[in-house]
Amino acid sequence: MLDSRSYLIILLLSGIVPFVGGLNVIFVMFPYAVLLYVFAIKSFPLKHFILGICLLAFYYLVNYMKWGFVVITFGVLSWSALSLIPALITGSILIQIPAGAFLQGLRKLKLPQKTMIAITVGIRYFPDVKTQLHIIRKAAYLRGLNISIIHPKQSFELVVVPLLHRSLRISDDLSAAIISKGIEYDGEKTSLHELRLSFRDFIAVGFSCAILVLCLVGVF
Amino acid sequence: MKVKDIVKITILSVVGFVLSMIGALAAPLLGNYSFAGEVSFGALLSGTVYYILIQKVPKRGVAFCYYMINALVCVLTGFWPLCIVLLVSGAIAEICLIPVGSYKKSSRVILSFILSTVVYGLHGVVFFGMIGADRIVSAFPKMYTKESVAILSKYLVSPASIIILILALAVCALIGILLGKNIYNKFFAGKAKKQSQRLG
Repeated sequence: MLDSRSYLIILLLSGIVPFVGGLNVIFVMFPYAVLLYVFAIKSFPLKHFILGICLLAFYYLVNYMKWGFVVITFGVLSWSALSLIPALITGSILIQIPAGAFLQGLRKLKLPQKTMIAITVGIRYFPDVKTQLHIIRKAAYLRGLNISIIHPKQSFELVVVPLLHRSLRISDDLSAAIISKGIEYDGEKTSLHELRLSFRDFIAVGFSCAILVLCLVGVF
Repeated sequence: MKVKDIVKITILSVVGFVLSMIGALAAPLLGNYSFAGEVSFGALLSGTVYYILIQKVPKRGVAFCYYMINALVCVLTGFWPLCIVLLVSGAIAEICLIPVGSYKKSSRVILSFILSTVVYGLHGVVFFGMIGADRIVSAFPKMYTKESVAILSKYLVSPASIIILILALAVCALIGILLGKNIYNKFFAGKAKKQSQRLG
């Protein structure tokens, strides 16, 4: 696995490059992100891969139809979603890095402490929202409560109220855990995880930067 | 702001962002007005989170932090032009909450959400109207063609369209934040009162 700082830079570039380079660069960034995932997690990102292939097929189908209204709305939507896939794959690698290692990486970047906490908590909590929604939906089903578009206000309350209650409880628990680990201590902090940039980090980040430069120059 | 406030703001902002993205999925139904639809439908769902966040963390800077975290997520997901729009929206939301005691006044919170949503929702008009169709095509040659930009400009950058957009954004933001106020009073306010009475 690479350094967490490298993954953060690659995540940033994975988001920006498709919007600068267009569709052709996705044919480079998508397999590159899959390769990074395979080397880091030692498994294949099947869900993201299938999603990417489906979005690509949908994009070409929409453009083949050449109906102005459909192309403008669904074409741009599918293109935007497709552009997110490399960032999603890189983000899913970042989520699996231990929080301590991630925080230590951000500390080495000399970011303000509150920004570090916000980035770490935000990135780690993102997949949890999906899990919470899934749990809430199952719990509502077990209780015989119907979440449907026919009763929008009730359905909204059924989903959002438990989600917010759980989120507030998680925030209290997380704050207590972070504070008990000495986040508010002003002195220099050590870490169990030793972070050192290796040759592989420079190659990986360098490749992403090279793609961005090629996009800006107009190769893609 | 303390560490627990930052954590609470971050977690609720992420929830708000996810809900606004879910709302934005319905935007393509509006065709050429999908720019406004993304933000209006998103505001319908995320207004609740915004209201509850302000009530739970009634401190200076909370509204700006909410939009800043949304901007950070936009940058990480590649929608970097929205970052500037979101920071301006956050600044406007915070300006509405400057007077002392504003965070606990529902009228001020409602006003701040509506104004910030309208500013955010007009990003399409800003991009097409101020930047200009030709510069957009040259900046994003792979995303827009001259024809598609011309069609979008015709729909977005006209006085009637702008007025309709502003009204739609304001109405959806109002509904969203009033829904949030209703949910807060029904499910969260009683608990806060009991807690303050116990500590009191």
